[in-house]
Amino acid sequence: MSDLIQILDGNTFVVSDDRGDIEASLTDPTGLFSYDTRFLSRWVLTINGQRLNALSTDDLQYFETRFFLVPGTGTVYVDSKLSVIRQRAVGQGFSEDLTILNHDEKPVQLTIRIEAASDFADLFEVKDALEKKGTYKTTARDGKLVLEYKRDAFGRATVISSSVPARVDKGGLTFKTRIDPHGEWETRLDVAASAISAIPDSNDNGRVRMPGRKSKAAELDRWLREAPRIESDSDSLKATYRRSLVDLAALRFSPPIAGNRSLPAAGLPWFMAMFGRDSIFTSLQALPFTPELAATTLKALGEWQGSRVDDFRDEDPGRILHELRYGELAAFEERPHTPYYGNADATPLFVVLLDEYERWSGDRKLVRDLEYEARAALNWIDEYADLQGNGYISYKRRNEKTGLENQCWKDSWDSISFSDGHLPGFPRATCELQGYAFDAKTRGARLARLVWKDEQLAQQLEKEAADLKRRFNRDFWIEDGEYFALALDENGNQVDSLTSNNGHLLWSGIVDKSKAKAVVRHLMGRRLFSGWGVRTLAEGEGRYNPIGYHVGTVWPFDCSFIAWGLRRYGFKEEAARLAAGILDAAEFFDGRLPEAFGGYERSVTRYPVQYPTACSPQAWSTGTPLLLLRTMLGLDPLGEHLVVDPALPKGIGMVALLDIPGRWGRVDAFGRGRIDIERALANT
Amino acid sequence: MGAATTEFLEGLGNRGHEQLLETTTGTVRLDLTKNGKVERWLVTIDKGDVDVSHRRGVSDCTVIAAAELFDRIASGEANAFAAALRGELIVGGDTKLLVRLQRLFPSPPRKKRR
Repeated sequence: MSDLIQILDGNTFVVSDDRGDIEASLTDPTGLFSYDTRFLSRWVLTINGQRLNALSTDDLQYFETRFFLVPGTGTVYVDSKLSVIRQRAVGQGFSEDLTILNHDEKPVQLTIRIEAASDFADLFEVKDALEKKGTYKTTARDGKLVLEYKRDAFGRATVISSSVPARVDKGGLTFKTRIDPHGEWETRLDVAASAISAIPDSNDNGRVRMPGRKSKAAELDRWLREAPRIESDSDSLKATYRRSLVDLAALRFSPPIAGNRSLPAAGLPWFMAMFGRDSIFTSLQALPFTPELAATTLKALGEWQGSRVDDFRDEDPGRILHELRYGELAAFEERPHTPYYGNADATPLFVVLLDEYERWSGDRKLVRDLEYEARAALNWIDEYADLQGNGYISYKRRNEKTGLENQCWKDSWDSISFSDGHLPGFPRATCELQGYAFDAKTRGARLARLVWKDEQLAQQLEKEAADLKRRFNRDFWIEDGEYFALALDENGNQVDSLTSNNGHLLWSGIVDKSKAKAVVRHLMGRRLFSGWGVRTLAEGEGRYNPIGYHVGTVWPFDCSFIAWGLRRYGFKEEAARLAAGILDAAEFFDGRLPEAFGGYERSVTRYPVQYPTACSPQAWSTGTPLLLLRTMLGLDPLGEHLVVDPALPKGIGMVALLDIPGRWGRVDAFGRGRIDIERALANT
Repeated sequence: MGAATTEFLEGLGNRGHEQLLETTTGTVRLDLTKNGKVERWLVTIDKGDVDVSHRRGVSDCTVIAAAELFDRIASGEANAFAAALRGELIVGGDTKLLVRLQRLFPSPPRKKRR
């Protein structure tokens, strides 16, 4: 997988081999994808019938790559009288500048051929290998190759054209040319992905181009310029910071309903879609750096807030969406993503983000504009999410065919288990959901008092929050183990595994002060802390597996919120230790943290082992170094000011973050690494 | 024209104000087709105040669909966004207005509560 080349622009991306060729099968995630549909599954260049060899690949920008190639498939000796350059940029489909150079003293006669085809697979079909139900049509006319797929009124088309006239047949485009000695030949190939009468701005004839983005290079420049600048003794930290900002730019996309504003998609390749939870967590991580993401996320998720009771979509009034998709399976309701609402955390987190956004930006207008949605979200917690009537959020899918079993961030089938490995029944009330609910009520009270001028609601929410905290510390606390249970099962019994979820509880502030020290001892102890980060499930638990998706791997995003939680309860040294571990790991991944890596002990493997099918880049992993910077520097808004209270690991040296945007305008933060992290670990 | 469409749109007009739409301003034109004829509805939203008519007028968002389909949408049986993705419902202009409006459509009929 590592030599697959990916370029992307929001919801459109191209995955090819290192020659620039695409030869996809139904289960192979290569191709041109846009809005959850594969528009090109074959794209193969030959010269005089020969495939090409890759000399090198340059990733110019996240949306642009250049392939240097020579003819011949021999790998030992390359007789390079010809060079071939393919420069590809993604937009509404992609464009490819194909240049062939003749280095010989004699002219050459060439037949250049591009083979093209599309299976129009839905991204879910690629993931799950499903069969197609519609019909295909291929036409070669006016020098263009048109690939079409139709199923009832649903239509998708790929139109391939060239700047130099080609002989077009149903399998591709052919150019016959002569290149003079030391001469060159070039053409531009355009591959346009379009929906036939889809939702985005339609033009007169009903044929629609997918929305793209103009002058992306200038836009990336602006994006980087507006983010705070970093200065540091640590080159690795600077590189990781820049990588994060660029990847975050690449993962932004503008859903048709958000105008030209953008929000983070979850990750390449499977999750270039709008996700409630991922967008919110990423926006929280990036708030001190790129606050516009939070504003857009809040608006877009507000637009799509649930309003009905719809079992197929697991929708309730006030619920924030889980995932929105544009592909064929969603269109024909074979999958529920139009949108699907089956999550139990995005709704309280929506209120958390709204409040955190106001604390940083001072943008009360947005808080006023979203009053209806925020109240509906707060109402959902008690009205629709308390499935057991015990005062806790719990989840049980109503769509039993295609809905999600686990509606928390650890959403794989076996993520919630007892210590002995057996799985609880439903509904399940996982602990972090109660933390989010507590935080949402506490923050909702602040917004009610400050912006909505509703003192009665503020008092009610505060009372509910205090009550929830009291009950939670009684019902979820495992007395002899001194940590919080992962969940309560359908009978209200404690699901007793030791998990990283304890860290999210610190972040939410639901943990009694008297219990915090014991919780931290676990988080930084041998069973959970690997040396790089906190394992999702502790070593020694029944289902522990260091490369199990949510049962032993380390998730960088998880660790970033745990670090924030450690700071919240005053454990500065431990937060610095955790930040150092994750940032050290980032260095091994060239600054691009994967979704997850193995939970192996650091002292054993010496390097972080990437989880086999992890998404990369992935939004909340990309946001992780940003949140770690925030926690290490101790950045926190207080009224109209930004508090800076650095606690940095020694190895990092000096860090300066300049021009941090917020309600104060722009301010700088400085810190110097003074914490001996080995000592910090020994103390816990 | 379909009873559910009429009931939904006239209900909207009669209530005259929707809290959900208080941050929304704009006009949606619905062109509902049946047997080659088009029935036009104009829904004007001004910060939550809603006016529904058959007037001609400038719109910010145009929705074209079969009357039969829109009837199923207005009764909660069909989902507007999925229909748009299937190409059965065509939206032009400011699509955000339809996203707003569709939150007012009723819940689908429930088969059976467990």
